[in-house]
Amino acid sequence: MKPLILIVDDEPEIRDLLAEFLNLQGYRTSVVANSIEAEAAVGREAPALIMCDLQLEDADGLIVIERLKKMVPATPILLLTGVYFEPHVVREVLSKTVAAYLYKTTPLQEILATVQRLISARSA
Amino acid sequence: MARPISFFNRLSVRLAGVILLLGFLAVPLVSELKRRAVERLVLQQAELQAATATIAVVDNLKDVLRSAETTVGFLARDLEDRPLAPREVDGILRNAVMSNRSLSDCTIDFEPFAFAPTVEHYGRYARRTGGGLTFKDLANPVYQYWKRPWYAETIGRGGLGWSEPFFDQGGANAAVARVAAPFYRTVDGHRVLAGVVAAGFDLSGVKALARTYDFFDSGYVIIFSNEGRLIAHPDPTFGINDTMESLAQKFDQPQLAAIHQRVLGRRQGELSYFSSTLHRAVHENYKPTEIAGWGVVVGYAESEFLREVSDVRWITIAAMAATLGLLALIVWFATRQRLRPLGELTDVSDEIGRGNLDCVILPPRRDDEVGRLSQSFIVMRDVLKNNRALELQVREQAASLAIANAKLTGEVLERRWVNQALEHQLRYAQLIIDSISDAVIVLTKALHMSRINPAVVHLTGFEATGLVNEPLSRLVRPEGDEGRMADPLGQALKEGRDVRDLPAVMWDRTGRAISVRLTLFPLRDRDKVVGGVAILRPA
Repeated sequence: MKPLILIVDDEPEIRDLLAEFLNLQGYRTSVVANSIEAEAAVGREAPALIMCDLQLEDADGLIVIERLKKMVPATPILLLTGVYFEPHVVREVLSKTVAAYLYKTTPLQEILATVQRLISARSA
Repeated sequence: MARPISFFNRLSVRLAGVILLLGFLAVPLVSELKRRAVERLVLQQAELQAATATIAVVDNLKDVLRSAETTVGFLARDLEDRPLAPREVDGILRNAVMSNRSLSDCTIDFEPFAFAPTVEHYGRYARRTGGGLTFKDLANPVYQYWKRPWYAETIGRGGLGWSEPFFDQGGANAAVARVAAPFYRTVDGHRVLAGVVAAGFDLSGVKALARTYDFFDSGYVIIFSNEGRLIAHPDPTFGINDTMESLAQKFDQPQLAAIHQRVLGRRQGELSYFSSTLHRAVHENYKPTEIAGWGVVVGYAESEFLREVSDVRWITIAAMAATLGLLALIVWFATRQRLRPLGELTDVSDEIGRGNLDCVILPPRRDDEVGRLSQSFIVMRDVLKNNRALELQVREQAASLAIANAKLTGEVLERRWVNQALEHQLRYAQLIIDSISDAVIVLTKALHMSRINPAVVHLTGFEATGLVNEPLSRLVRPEGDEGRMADPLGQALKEGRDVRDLPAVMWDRTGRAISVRLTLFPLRDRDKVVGGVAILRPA
């Protein structure tokens, strides 16, 4: 069965575009807009990867990530955000929280490479 | 690997089999019909020959019997009104016996005193013995001819007649039939009985006559008397003591009695039956002789003729079977030869069905249905090859298109992603600017306003659209620097310097002057100043 990727983003254009791209690459996707939907989706089926925005409508992304990690500890989480962080923030905070961090300006092919790497590492 | 028997091989074999089957059904039928027809013809022919033979036997027998009758009749006439001496009687007897070899003896017997007025009984008898004759007096006290039944019967009959066959014990010592006739004298103008002339007819001659008719291998002649006594019979154990009736009864063969009765009725005819006496199926023709009341039967075994027919029949069957076999072989071979191209086409269709379009199809050998079929197969194979090539081409093009489409889709997606990222960044940047409560004006390098935040609108009452692309000097100027505002700010931008808390005057929509402090930051793209950001705070 194709790996399932859960996309959590409150911007429909972004999550739909990501889903369309990842579907074309052979993944199954599940898109949700907030933390409640994200937890429900994870409860239904543990995804191979979670792509989560930092700024959600109903909650801070990092808090949502912490909750999701408790639910599916083995699932890598890719933080995808438009907020620019200082390098030391990334180094000291985000690297301990998420498996990878990417800006939303990152080209799709690079995002795909990161997705493939994370899913392969999880499978291994 | 052995090639399985093809449909066409099976067809040719079945066709040949059907021919053989029909042949083997038809051959016995035809053979049987033919056999019956031939049998009928052969039997008709045999019957015809038997009928002819019957006539011949009867005619010959009649000649012999008639000669005996003639002799006796001549004697009877010769004795009429003729006085005889004893010596003359013996001479007549001698002449009679010696002149007719069918006669074994002869006698002349007179009525009382008819021979001579002084002689009451006179009877002379001559019998053939070896090469001569033996004479005997029948008026002797022992024999006394006038007391013999035959004498009385002849007189009683009043004319020439035949006795039943009998064995003449003490006389001819042979089986004979007596032919006898009375003779007369004229006395006083009246015809008066004078005596009896009788002759013994030797039946051995009749038997010999019957034996001479060997017209068929199985042919035989039966001669029987008026009472049905057997004078001649193929079985020598049957003789005059046997009759047609006794044989019919003994062997449960009513046909024999029937033949006798029909002959008595002076009828002739034929019939077929299984003879118990001869142990075979026989066909018999019968005919009365019209002399002595005798009858003649000429018979033969039908099997004698049917055997040849049967032989011919088996030869015919064998010949027809051989012909049929040969015909079936020819049909099988011809059909196989004719249908071989179809078998090859079947193989070709299998090959094509398996996807081998490079299979070899032999060119048509004949311009017939099979030839046209071969040609159609060639055309079909070529069309399929072309179609396959086209299909491959289309597939390749479709694959190329799919790749191109995927690439394009990827590019489109990538572009959309970039656009949304830019949009997001812009929106994010706008959000930051708009969230600042101080008046923020984004400037071009030439100090034209490219963007203002809501605080500017709030402070001045101008709409953003009325200010964008307008020079900053229209909205704000450093204090005491009327009309030359641009220069210190422009100079700062050119040098890439910040300007902080510069006292300035800002005019709102109504023309009211508002004292503010102006801070200017140059906007750098990498090391190049591309514009600036001015922040106005009420003084």
